[in-house]
Amino acid sequence: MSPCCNAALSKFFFFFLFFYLAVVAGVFNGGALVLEWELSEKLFVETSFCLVLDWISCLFSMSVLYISGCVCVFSGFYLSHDKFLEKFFVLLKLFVVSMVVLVLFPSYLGLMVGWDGLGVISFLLVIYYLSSCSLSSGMITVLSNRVGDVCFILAISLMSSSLSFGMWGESFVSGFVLGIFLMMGSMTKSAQVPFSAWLPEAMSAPTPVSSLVHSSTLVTAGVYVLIRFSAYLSEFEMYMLSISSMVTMLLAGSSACMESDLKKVVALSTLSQVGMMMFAISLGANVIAFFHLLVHAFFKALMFMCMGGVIYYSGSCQDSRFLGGVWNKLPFTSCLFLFSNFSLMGFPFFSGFYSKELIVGAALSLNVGLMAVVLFFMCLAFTISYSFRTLNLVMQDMSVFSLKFYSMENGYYLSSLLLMMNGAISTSLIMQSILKEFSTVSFVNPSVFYSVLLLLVMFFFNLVLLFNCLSKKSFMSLTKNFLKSMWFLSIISGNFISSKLLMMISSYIVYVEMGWIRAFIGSKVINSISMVFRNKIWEMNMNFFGVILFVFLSVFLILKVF
Amino acid sequence: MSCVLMLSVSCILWGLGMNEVGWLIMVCAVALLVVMMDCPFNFYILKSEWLGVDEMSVLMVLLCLLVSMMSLVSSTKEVKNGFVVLMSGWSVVEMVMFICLGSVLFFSVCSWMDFFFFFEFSLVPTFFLILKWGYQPERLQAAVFMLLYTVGSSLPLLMSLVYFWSYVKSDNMLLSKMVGGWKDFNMNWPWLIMSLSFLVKLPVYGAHAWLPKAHVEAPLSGSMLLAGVLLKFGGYGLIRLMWFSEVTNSTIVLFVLVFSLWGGVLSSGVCSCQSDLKSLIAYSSIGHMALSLSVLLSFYSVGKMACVCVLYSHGICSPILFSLAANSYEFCQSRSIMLSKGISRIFPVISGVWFFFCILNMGFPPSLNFFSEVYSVGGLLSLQWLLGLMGGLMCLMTGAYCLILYSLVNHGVVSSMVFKPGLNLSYRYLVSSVFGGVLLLGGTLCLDMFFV
Repeated sequence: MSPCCNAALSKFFFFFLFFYLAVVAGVFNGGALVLEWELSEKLFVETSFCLVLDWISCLFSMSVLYISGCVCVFSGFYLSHDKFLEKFFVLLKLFVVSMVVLVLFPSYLGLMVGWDGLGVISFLLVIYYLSSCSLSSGMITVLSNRVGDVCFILAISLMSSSLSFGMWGESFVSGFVLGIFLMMGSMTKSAQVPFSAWLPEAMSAPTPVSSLVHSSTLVTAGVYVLIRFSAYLSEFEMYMLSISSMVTMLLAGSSACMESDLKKVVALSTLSQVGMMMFAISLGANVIAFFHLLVHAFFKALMFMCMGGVIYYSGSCQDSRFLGGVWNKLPFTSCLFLFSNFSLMGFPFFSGFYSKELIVGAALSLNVGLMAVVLFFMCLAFTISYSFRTLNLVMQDMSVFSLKFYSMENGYYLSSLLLMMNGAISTSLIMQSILKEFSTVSFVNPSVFYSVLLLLVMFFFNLVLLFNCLSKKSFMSLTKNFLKSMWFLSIISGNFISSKLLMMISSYIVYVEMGWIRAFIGSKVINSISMVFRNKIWEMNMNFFGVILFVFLSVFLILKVF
Repeated sequence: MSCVLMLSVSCILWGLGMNEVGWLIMVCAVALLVVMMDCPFNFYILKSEWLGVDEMSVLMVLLCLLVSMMSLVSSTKEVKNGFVVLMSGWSVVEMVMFICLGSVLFFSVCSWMDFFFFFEFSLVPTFFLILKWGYQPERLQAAVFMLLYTVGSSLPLLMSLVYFWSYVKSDNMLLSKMVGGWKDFNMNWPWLIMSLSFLVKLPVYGAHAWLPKAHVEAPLSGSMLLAGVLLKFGGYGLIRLMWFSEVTNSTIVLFVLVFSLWGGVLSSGVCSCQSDLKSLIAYSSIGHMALSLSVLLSFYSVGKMACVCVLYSHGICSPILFSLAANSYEFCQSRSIMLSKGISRIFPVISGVWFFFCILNMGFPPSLNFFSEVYSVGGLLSLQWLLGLMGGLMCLMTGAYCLILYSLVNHGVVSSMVFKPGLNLSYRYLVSSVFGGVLLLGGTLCLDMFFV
């Protein structure tokens, strides 16, 4: 188990290093450290890497390092029988390095290092179990991320081409388009609609990977970029972002109510929370979104770890229809799972409550319109409903197939859970007491808020009961298929596009590439030209008159030229 | 110039009976250092009556030397420990050194007639290389295609250079430019005819049929030199031609730009469906060269810099991908993607190197490929937003096929063709890969040298 200890210790070392740096640099009192390294001045734009160490980057990198340290300990338990464990730790280390580079270097070039690195290494981590379904998940993950990369490359090109040299006439349009590119890039990474299909598919990765990558680091990279570059977003982009994040929250919430694979339910809950963060950014509440980002990272990682324990101890069974009664079998795990679910729901005074309360306050007090408020409350109701559904399915002993014999919880597993435990339950209190930026005042009347929420939950409960009592089978199965496949998005994004495109390319190759270009021009045209020339030259050489003419002509030409 | 002298002396000594290939590689490395010693900035110097030095030509000479070194190191079949395999009295080493010498001279000469001579000269050793050391009977047609396409399209260039020589009364590049060679002409159509040869060599999409054939049939050193050096002849020639032919941004130039850019997108799309590893990498070469050509034709200074950067970074990355493909040929005797699969479990280091070069090919920051790609798309976007969008589409498809390439070779269950007893892979592939990787990643630290 020593590679596991080495990996975890290195992460914790860097965590404490960052903490020390932060305290020394006076970061928590508003100071910042900026280092710039210039690469080239030959182009008219400055090609430089810029390191920024202020409270945002410090806090984020500290939480990333802490979570990855706990995940390393957890993977010492989860992947203990795996042959390529050292390779796994190397990949995790590279992933953490890319994330820290992304957080610390917010200039666009440094950003691309971290951004591309995240996408590519998450591909390697998702295809870690070398099977065909993990390959398909990996390909859709990395291709969705690549679309975001391309948007960022176009944003960089726009920055280097029309935002300097004083092209005044174009700066308005370019600024607007730049905001669109940035927003689209962040949306692909954070899996907003229409790029949401990859996140549930990426659950083919091992659970430690999901707990680090798909809960706290990869999907929050897009949110972080938008927080840093929020000055580029104009009214139109904020509007589009709010719509898209709202749709994502609805999609994730409704799909999680029907999903039977437990890891996918947790992934969809991540998706809805990231949608909530994006919604907060679209309202302009960047600091609140960042607070929710950090708090969510901790309790979601804990939730994934508990889920990983349940999956491991039930013999790699991820389907909730086979599980049950975990409350009696893994008491510590189910306790922490309960607490993290309460955080997710925003149950009063747990960790998630503080940040969610602030977002709700921002949503209600800024001008968003009646429809947005109603839909927002619907998302909150969805969160509560799927959380309770998951708790019910996992912990209550009601299934026929539930496995009866579990073993004692492993030492590594317990220690990783203990390390994360405080993080998930009291993170927000600690952060609010350290940083004065996180404690804002929100004008929400709790009696109104909770009563409306309860009303909506009751409404949904009745709706669900109505669905269950409906006798029309086709309608029920259509609704189930619609919700299970994420409003048909996962089918459209993956299978449909890739198969149609590849078939189109293959027929293009057969007809144009092999047909016209190679066979026609390559063989026929060239052969016919050379044949024609050859025959003509033969004819000419066989004729005495032709030879003399040819000799005279060439002598004449040479004399003319020289 | 002294590097040329060193190379010629070492070739002569080789001919006289020296048998150590490692010695030749050392000579190349020292020649590299010697070349680095004079790097003029932004102006063209005539070193002698025969040779002229510009920063771009220094870069290209460096590329030649590096690629020849890597190709000598990686040809494990033909250059074994202590002896070389001979075919009709010649060995691969001599052919590689001929191509290297010819290319170094091509990038250094300063008169147009010598330029054309060395342009065609390096085709002869390549032709011989493909014919003698290739593996399949189709290599006859492939070699003939290559010759027909490149020589046939360079005949107009010869005619126009001869006419130019008689018009300006000198064929020195610098002198003819300073005298103002073509100023009285409308250079649109003549430019197209003259650059046809470079476009076919580059290769632009419509005239690219020779390249995948040649790559599939050539041995490893031939492929490495073809991809690394010979394709760059076209780019170099186009830059020199644009410099002296006073061509302006007109409809014809835009036509070639759009044609090559869209051809690049098509060729990158075609890559995702290839069944032969070498053919896949060949089509990726076409895509990269198309990107460099289109940003060069935008007539921005960023365009020329990005073009040279793409030429250089592709010239290092592509030969290494070819050597990795030859590596997989060695242990399963087939280049088909159906048969060489799943090496991630049994060769983890080679699998890591495959991954590294696949993502370098797609432009992974902070390597040189990333900068070349970003500034190419930037140059195109400055010209017209739709061209930038096409460039972005090409980046997307490049990413797709690079990862498809990686997952085809490395993912999944080990194919049954790979299990052979007594499997010994040469570590020479790893050495040349590490060398190239260090160059590409470390090139970021001296970007000023590559942004010519």
